[in-house]
Amino acid sequence: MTIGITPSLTSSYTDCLLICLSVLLQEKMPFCGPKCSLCCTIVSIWGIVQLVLMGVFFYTHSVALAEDLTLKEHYDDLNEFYKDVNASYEQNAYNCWIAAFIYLVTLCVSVHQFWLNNRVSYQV
Amino acid sequence: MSIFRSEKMSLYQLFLQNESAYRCMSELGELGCVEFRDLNSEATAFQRTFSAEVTRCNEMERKLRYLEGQIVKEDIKIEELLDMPAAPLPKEMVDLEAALDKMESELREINVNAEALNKNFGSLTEMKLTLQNAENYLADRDGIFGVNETTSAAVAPEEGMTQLNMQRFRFVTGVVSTEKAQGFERMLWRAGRGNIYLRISPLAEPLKDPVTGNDVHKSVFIAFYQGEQLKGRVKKICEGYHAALYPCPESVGLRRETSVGVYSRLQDLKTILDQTKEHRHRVLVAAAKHLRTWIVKVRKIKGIFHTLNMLSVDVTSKALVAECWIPDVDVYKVRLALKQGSEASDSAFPPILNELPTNAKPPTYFRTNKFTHGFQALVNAYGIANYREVNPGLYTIITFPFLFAVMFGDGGHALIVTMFASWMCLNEEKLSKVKGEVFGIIFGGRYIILLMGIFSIYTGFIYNDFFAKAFNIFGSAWVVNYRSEGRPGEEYLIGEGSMESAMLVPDRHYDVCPNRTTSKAYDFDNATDFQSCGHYRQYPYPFGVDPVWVIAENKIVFLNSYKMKLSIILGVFHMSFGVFLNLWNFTYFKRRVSILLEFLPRILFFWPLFGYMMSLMFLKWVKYGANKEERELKSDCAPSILITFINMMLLSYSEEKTRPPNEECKTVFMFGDDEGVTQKTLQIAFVLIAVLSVPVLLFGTPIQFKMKMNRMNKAKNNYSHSGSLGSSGHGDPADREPIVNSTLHVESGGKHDVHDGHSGDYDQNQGSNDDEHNTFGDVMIYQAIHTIEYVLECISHTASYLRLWALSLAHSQLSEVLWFMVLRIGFKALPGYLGSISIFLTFAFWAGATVSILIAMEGMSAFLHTLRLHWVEFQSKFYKGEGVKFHAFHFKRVTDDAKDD
Repeated sequence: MTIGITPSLTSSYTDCLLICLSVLLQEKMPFCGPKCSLCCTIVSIWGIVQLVLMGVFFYTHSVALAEDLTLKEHYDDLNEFYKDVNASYEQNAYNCWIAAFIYLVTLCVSVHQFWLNNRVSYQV
Repeated sequence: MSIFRSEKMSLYQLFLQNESAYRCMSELGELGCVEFRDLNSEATAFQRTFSAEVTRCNEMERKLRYLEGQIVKEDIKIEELLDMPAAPLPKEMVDLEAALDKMESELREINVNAEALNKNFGSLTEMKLTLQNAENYLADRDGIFGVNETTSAAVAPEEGMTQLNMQRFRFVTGVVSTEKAQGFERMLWRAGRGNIYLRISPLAEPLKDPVTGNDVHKSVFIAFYQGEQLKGRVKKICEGYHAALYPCPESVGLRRETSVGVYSRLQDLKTILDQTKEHRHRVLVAAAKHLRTWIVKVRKIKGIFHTLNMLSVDVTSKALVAECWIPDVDVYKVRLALKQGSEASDSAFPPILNELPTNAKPPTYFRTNKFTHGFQALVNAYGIANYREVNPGLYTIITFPFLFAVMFGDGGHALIVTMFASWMCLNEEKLSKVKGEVFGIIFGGRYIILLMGIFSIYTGFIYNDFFAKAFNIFGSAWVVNYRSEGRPGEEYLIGEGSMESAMLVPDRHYDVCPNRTTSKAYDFDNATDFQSCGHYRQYPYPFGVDPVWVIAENKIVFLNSYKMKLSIILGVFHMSFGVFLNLWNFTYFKRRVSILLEFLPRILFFWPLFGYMMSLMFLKWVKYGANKEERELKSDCAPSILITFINMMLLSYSEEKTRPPNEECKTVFMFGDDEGVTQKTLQIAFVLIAVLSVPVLLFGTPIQFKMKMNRMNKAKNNYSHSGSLGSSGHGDPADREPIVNSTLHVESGGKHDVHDGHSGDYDQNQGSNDDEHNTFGDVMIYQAIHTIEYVLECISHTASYLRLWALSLAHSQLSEVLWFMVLRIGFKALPGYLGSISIFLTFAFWAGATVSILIAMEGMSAFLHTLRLHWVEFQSKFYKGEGVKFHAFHFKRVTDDAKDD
């Protein structure tokens, strides 16, 4: 597996992920069972939908999510407070979208696993 | 066809000719709407007419089970049925029996042969392995002692010695199971006092046990000994340890020869075994094709004969007589089926179906479909409805999911439940084949779950709760009413518990009240200096709870008051509805007096107390509020309903009890004049009405009973005075069983008049029969128990509906805590973009906990509480649930059981 990664050490994180994925895809045998892969698929779909939506809500400065922001205990300056709030909203929005993207990756892996499992069980 | 009341049933007498009985019964079994009464209930299973046939069917079933076991063991796929075969004719049964018999004996023979062959094969294999192993040992020995003729001259002086040793050393070889090998070795050592030389080596491959087919680990041994005495001991020990001994020739040549012989015999055996196996496989594959058909056929035959056993034989023994319950709407179907049956069997006489007039209690039958079935099952689990009683199952369809949703009010969780249930409903064809007890229960209630999910989405919108977060769809009615310019710093009170108040609407200002000073933005209960402008926009959030409450400090205080009132209101409506359903029962069963003596006092007890309390709640909501102009109508002046109600019950209107919460509020009375004359009068009147209705409820029915008895006695006396005593048929309560063979005169044309005259009178008949058994004392005690129960119930059950609030509070708090403890950590744990990783990890955990704790466990508990509210709080108001279930003779039931087995 390291063979694939060494030339792309300089390349970006996503490239690395894709290579890992391709290595995994070449594996013949599934590494988790049919139930496990189905469970992962469902959690991944749920994660993608909810995290994308939550990202949108963070991005639009939804008040209901205000308690989930990373803020200091006490502020003396209002402008500083606003600045932190806005920054935290945006940061959380991006984080949610990135997490959703990670779930997209796990979705691909688990769907592939699911497909492999099905194929294996058909053969037998 | 509705499930408001159970189907109308009539008792019929059915005469079946002997020759057509089987065919007719088979048709009725396919139809499945006739319940037969057992007319030979005193006879044992062996005394019945067709016990021989039933025994034959049992025998066939046993053979089929044996076949199935063999097929399953062979891993052959059993073909599922595409359509149900019809019940075979009796003569087909003989063929089937013969075929099964043949197949079974053939299989048994094959199995016996195969077993013998396997045994043989096993021992030969063991022998082969023994020889191979012994070869190694003996080769070693030969190498040491030099048996070969090529001994060199150098060893010649010692030759005599070795030869002597060789002659004296004898050996046995064999196989012992590895588990026993150690003990075997020790025993040999002790018995031979160390003079037996043993070598054991475990076999690499496990052997197959010839009988069970399991893997057995064995070891090969070779034991060297000297002399006859030791030989005997070794043999005995081998016997004791169940070690199989195999002869092993001394010389190399002979050994080789034996090996070759064993090998060739093994080869032969293998071919024979393969052939046997193949033959067996062929037989089983052929059987697997028809197995399901056979099982269904045998089950049907057995069902028919079992039902025929319930029939009594006519005096002429040319016909069988049956008594059966048939739903009135299905009678024409039954007649048609009987006609077909008798035509198919070329019977000279058609079967005769007559209605029997009877006082017996008919069975209860609700024609449910796949949607209503689950809800009816919930009611049936409590008790089968009395015949023609109002069925709570109908209302359960709506009230059950609704009350569940009140407790499970979270749109996000409900969405998952709904998706899961709709997946089950959309794939029900496929999923109905899935076995498994737990899944079977959930699948059976799929429509209940679907409705529960949809209703919970609605309550989720009402509570504005989605995974413990609120959606601000229409724009909150609350604003932060500070002017941002010129008031920086401490006025904003950023952080320290009131952070959210500063953050609500960061850059919009509703500049209505420049002199506002309060720091509590959302707390309108405690804000005594609240003014009409404030933080409230003067018009409420259009639908559901305002989203701002989710982040308010006093959220629980507000929601508790709202949800508690809501649950009491729902409870009062639900229970009043139950009391009102009595009305339908009373009018239907023609107990008009009971409306006056039962229904009226009940509702007159319940409504003046709890209905009044409920209306006070509405009044409080409408009359008092933050946006009212007058000071005494502000929310802090609203009197507590609970205290008002307690004072009303205790009739305490003293000075200190009626003091307003603060000086500006003037009065604690909610309507009428400020001194409370109107309200006091009304409340005292209501309490009086409620108290007075209790004795009516307590003594009404017994007094009515007494009067009725007196009237009847008087009439009886008059009757006996006039001298005629021929009314035994009317007065004998024991004569409730229909008399077989005595009702032929009841023609089908005339029967409907009779029937209509009696329609719905079963309950009344029951009642009048009971009346004659009961004494005044019985009725009095019964009524006293019911009255006390009802009065206590009204209080305890109203309080019991508070579980709606409690569970809903628990659910929202749990989901909030889960968000707070898990997802928020994900958002805050790691700085910058690394936060995405923590979100990724915590989300999976959060999702798992949401499904397992909040949906599965909380849903289960809400379900059970809803069930209780229906069984106890609702159904106790009107439902008897003492009926008997209609149990039709139906092939589907018989064959479904077959599948479950």
